[in-house]
Amino acid sequence: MSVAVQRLGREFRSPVATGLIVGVLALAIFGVVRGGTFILVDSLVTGAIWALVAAGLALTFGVMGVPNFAQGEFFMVGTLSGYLVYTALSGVQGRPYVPVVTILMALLVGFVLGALVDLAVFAQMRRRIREGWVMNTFVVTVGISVVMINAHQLIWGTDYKGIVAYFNGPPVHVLGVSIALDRVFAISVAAVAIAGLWWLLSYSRIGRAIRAVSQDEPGALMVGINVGRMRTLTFGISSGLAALAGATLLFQFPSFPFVGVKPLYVAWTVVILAGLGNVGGAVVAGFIIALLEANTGFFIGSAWEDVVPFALIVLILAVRPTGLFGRAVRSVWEQ
Amino acid sequence: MLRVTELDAGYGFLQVVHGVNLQVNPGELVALLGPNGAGKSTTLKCIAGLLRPWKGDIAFQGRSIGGLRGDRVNRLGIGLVSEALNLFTGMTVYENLLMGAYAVPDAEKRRRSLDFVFGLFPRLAERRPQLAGTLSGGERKMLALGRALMGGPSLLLVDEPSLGLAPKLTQQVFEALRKLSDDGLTILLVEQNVTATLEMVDRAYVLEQGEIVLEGSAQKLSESEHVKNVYLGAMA
Repeated sequence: MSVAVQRLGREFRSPVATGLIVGVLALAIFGVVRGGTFILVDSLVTGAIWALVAAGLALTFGVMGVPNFAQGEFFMVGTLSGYLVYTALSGVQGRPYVPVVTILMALLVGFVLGALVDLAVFAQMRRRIREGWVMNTFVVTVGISVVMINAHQLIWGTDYKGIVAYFNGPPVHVLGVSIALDRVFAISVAAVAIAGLWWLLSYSRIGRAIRAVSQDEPGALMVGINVGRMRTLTFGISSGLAALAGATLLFQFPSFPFVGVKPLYVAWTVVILAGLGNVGGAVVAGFIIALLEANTGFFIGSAWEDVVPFALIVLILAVRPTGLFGRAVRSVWEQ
Repeated sequence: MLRVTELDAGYGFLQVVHGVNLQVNPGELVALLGPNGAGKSTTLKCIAGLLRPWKGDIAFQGRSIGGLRGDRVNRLGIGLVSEALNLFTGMTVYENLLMGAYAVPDAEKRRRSLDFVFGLFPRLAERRPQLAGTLSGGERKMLALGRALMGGPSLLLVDEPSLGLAPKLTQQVFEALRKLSDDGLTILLVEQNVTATLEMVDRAYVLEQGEIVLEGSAQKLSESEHVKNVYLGAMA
């Protein structure tokens, strides 16, 4: 535990990070004072979900060197499997365990599909490609995304497949804001998933092996790690997290072929802000982007919600190309 | 224990190793000597499964392991300390050692290995919570050696332990290797530091331009005219 805390300390020692924290706190306080507490609540809910999607993105890039532009489509798969499972269970809707079963099924579908994609595509590419790994996989993920969008359209059509809410009970009142039960559910799911991911990567045998592969691939082979299996697992976990996020937000994002576009771009914004391959940073940056979105939406207008984060990205890339949490672009570019 | 027969290997179109034959018997400490670029590391990488041999056979304990993936080779009981060390720099010393025993399912065995490594290199015990990336060169070398030992190998491959180390530290690492060998571990060592190596090992091979040009006991090699002229310089 103390090691993790030390590491976190190192992470935040730079003046840029300190400035960032001050700025974020100022923004949060400003939003709450001038707008209302709901800005904070909104930021927490969407931030937690962006954190999930972006953490997967950072993980795939850090471990496999794959800039995954199909991550949004795994979010879409999550919304779709969430919708299909939930409507299939319509007989028992209203029972509190149904949403839990629904999102767990979505997680499973996302994991399995991701693992299969890795085995069918990236594992094959590993064997054949010697140069330009990052660029080639980038193009391939764009292709996978197109295939998945069209498969959805072909089989399930283009209409919105959504639900009103997982939970119908009265909203919860916290700090003078009423929060719909679904939002409470979403933030709890995200919190559990992030904590689970953190534990997995920090303390489990498999998580250590995944980190080992990201830090030194020959070294991982030398200690007996089946590197290929770790990559498949990583892609599965990352896809599973995106699908979990999709199913959890089904009340807000009804399933349709292009539902993944927005989560994809936001997740990339988050990952660039955090530094490519930096999983912990991605979680923090997820909340920052959500806070920015919520403030922009309220004070400037919701049409600007996407503009401000993107403008910020352009600025960050111009000033600090390694992302705010620095040093995170690892050996991946040399692959 | 280890027998390499007619090994050809290289990178891309460039052949580096030409028909190398070598053998390591149980309990021996054997060195593979030679100048830079002779193909010593390439040979070692082939044995450890980090590089696919072009031709020839590698047999370990009677089983052919040529072309087997590195993680499989490790699980058969071959530990490697590579020239680049390949440590997990973002992990602590303790985590690196733990990863060394990744393929060891028995927790009791892992604990014993850890005690053994900390006994061999007390320095590592002091640095236990420190990130491997922040260690000094000598400490890194110890950690790489310790990590390889954590897997409980029956054959240890060590690539250029003296590289980049001050003479005093080199001596420390060599002493550790000698001690491990005396305890019964079989070791194949790649080195350029001929004088110090020949004082320590049982047998040695001399590799030049990808071919074995000399082999024999350490004493025989230190008396050979070729070694005296080329490697030991004015000492003759």
